[in-house]
Amino acid sequence: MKLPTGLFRGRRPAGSVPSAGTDERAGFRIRVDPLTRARIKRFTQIKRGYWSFIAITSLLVLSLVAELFVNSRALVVSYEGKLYFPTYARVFLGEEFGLDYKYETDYRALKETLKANGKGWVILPIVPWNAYEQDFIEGEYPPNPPSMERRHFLGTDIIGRDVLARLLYGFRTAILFALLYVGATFLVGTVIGALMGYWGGPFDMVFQRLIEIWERIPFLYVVMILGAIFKPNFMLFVGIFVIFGWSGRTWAVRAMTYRERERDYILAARAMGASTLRIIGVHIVPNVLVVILTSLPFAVSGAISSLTALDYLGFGLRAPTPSWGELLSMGIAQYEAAPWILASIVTAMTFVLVTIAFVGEGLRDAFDPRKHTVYR
Amino acid sequence: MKVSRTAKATLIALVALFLLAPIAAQTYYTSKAVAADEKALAAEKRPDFSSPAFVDKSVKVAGLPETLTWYTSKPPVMGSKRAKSGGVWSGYMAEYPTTFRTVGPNSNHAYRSLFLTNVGTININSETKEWIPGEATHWAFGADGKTVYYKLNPKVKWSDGKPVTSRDYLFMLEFMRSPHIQAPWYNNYYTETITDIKAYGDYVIAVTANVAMDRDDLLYNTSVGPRPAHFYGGTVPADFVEAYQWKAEPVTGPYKLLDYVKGETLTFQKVKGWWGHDYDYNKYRYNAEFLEYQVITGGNEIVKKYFYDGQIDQFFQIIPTEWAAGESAEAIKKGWIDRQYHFYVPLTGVSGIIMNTAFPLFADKNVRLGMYYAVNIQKMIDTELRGEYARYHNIGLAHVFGGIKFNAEELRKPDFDPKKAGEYFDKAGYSLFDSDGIRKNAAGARLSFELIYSSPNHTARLSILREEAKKAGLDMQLKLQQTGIFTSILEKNFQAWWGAMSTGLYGSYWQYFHSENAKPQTNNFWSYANPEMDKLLDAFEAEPSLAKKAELQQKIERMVHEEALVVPNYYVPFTRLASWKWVRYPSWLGQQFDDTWSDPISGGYFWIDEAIRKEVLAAKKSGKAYKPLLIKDETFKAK
Repeated sequence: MKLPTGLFRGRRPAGSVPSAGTDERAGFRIRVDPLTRARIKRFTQIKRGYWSFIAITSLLVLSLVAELFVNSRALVVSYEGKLYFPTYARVFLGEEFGLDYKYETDYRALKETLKANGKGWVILPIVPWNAYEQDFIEGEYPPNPPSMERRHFLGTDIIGRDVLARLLYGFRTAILFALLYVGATFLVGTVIGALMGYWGGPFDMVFQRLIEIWERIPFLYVVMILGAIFKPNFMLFVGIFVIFGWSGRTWAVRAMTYRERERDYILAARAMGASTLRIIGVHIVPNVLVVILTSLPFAVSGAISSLTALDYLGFGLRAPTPSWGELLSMGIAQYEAAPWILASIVTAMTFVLVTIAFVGEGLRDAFDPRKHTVYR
Repeated sequence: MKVSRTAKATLIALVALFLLAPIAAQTYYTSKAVAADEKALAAEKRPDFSSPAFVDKSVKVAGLPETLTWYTSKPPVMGSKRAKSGGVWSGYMAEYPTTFRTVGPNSNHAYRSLFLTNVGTININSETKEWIPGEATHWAFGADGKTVYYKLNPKVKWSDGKPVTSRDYLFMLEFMRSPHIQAPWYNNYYTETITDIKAYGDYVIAVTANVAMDRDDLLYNTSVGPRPAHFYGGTVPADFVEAYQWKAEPVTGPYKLLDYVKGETLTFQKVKGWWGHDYDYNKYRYNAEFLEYQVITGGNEIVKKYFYDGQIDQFFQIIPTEWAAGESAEAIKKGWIDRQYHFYVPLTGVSGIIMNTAFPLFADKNVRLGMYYAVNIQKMIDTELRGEYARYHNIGLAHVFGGIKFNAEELRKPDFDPKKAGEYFDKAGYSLFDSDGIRKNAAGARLSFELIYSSPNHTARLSILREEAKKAGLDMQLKLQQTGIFTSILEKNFQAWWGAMSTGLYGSYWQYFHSENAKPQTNNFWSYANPEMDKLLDAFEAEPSLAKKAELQQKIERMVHEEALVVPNYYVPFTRLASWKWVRYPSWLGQQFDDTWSDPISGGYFWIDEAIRKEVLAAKKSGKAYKPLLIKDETFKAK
């Protein structure tokens, strides 16, 4: 009997012997089979998708350690022979470095002071501004155009905050949000969708109706209402999005499961006494995973756009959290006076969204069943 | 002849200057009507607007005691002699009126005043806050301290040509008391506060209030307006609300509704031979023949497009960034659009950060005092507001009435000083620092609060305060709540509120600070209770004399200052706008307490010059640039 295959195959390849480390009874088996290897290889050959993947991943990693590149806190301070690393440490008050104030040290000023009195030195990040502080230049009003001298490489926004800093930290918020959201909705959506498809009957019926009703709830109003009741912070937003986002993910999985469960190999598994969990986990999910995986990048870019749209409308994260939506609305309002704001945010958004779309396109091609399939 | 080198150079320079000067001067285009009016504008001087009341002994009214002293005043010409009558003014409405009625359900919309352009029985001079005649020429006070006699101007006519008589005042009372108008507030006011109106012949009425008051208060409360009895057939129709939904009542003012397209436009026309021009102060005012209002939805950005497109005549540029953006607008640079900038003293109530003392952090007076030093209002004004708004130090401004100043004008809030703020926060026990530099107390409670605000365009301003407050170890969380903010406020379900309240002619602080109101659903937003304050407030409420009331109000304001209940923010000490060149203004623009001078009905000081319109449109077509014109009046700029 010829069995279907999936990303993580539920079948031992003919003639192979289980390796010592593999537990056959585990829910999932993480073992890259030749077909998956072939798909990955195919993906790396699709240059556009592959390089986009590299680009977006590096950007993500870069944003996670953004504090090392774009931050008002110094990387290293040497003061009176002692070394300080303020980046990820607690706040050092000015008086700890012999300054006369009790708030966070202004490291840019400290650099000048220490240079003058010779008590030490300071190494600042490339962009010595964080996403919140305002740079007001005497006699001028923000927004200020890009300036190499003041290290505002993309200029400042309407209250003098560094656009690059807000862009980068805003990206971090957006991409983390998208990944969390997509991860959670796909997990919940896949499990429920698979159960609906596998069990069918009343369970399927009840959930179908429930989802139909659920999806009719006006999402924007719920966000507005919950935002008024609770502090609109990051996790609340992820929560709201997940609560209203999972249902959309169930349909495709449900339909695929319906199809798969009628196949012989499932019948065989059932005949051999496999549990529901095992059948779904080991046999069905791996075979429907392609659908999920290929739609994943598009869901990520969708989530970024949604969060940006909400922020743009003013229902997003609490000010002054750096956000793309806020930059976008500011950029549009100021496009004549400060074209660098709109230019920066539009370029960044286009780059990120297009890159993710390329990754998605690459994945779709790589997983195209017409390219690698056992059904011929 | 030997000419020194310097002399030669000087000579050449002079010749060059002589030749170049006319060329430089000619870089701007001008046209006949514009040049003529601008010359007159440059020569125009701000007149004296004062109008002290005086006793007019010549007035005798049959049936009234001869001992009555009749007062009147003779305000001078307030308009500009340059004014030309005629022309069409174009404006806009953000939404269409929900009804043309001025009382009853849905009548309290933003454009109500367009349908109620009545002159007023007597009015207040916007420069000096003195009383000036309106529909009545004289007023006199009864011996009971509750009654005012008004001698009506026999020339007053409704916009449909019928004369206004005492009968219209009697009808007004009947109208306002009628259940058919479905307006409980008016029903109540004209029963409880205005207890009676009597007529003495066609042109004298007596209006009686419920309690004895100071004279100015009495005039303020009893100067009620007439209603056209003939228009309603002498009785209040039972179906008033439905039947008069889209019928505009005749008015005594300069403009009446001529035409309308429901949902789209309103057109008003100047009343022919309007009686009001009989008064000097109305001369050269209400000059435009037609006022056209069109509905423009979609907010300020859309309105701006209509304005620069020439479809509406005026556009406000109050917000500093908006004003700055105007500098670079082509039509302004080329002088087709002029700008007007007038400083005045705005009537201002409580405005700033209102701290709820029911929130434990703000229960501590030291924290509230620390807030004075930790909130950098001045930096916000100097940066985001471009130094244009004025710093506010009190909870009331321009409370001037009956010649009496009610505000404790000497009050000043300190400048931003994180060290001084730290001292107060230390006193309150917040002397430790959290890892992010925010202060905390020994119990670990952070010096942190949530500031709610309702306008998205304040986010930038507040972000400045937030960053500055960190320097004092204070964590100010910003929460934008665009809808339902006032519900949270009334429920006292907030920690601090970035807000403002409007105010009357003088302060009404009982509602704000009396302990009786330290409960939900009242205006005591501070949840503040203090027996000493209560004493002052009770005394203020019971006091009939304005002079003594003013003293008490100042004491209350000082106490609020010492108790640090509000961190006042700023007030806007000016009105400024851009207008197409054919909208012409007096050189002084407006008066001391007046911010409606640019409005065609409330102010009516501008005029439309159709000759200039033709010239400007021609210049625009051919791309010729006038010298940009900014009329700025700084007479009342705060020092």
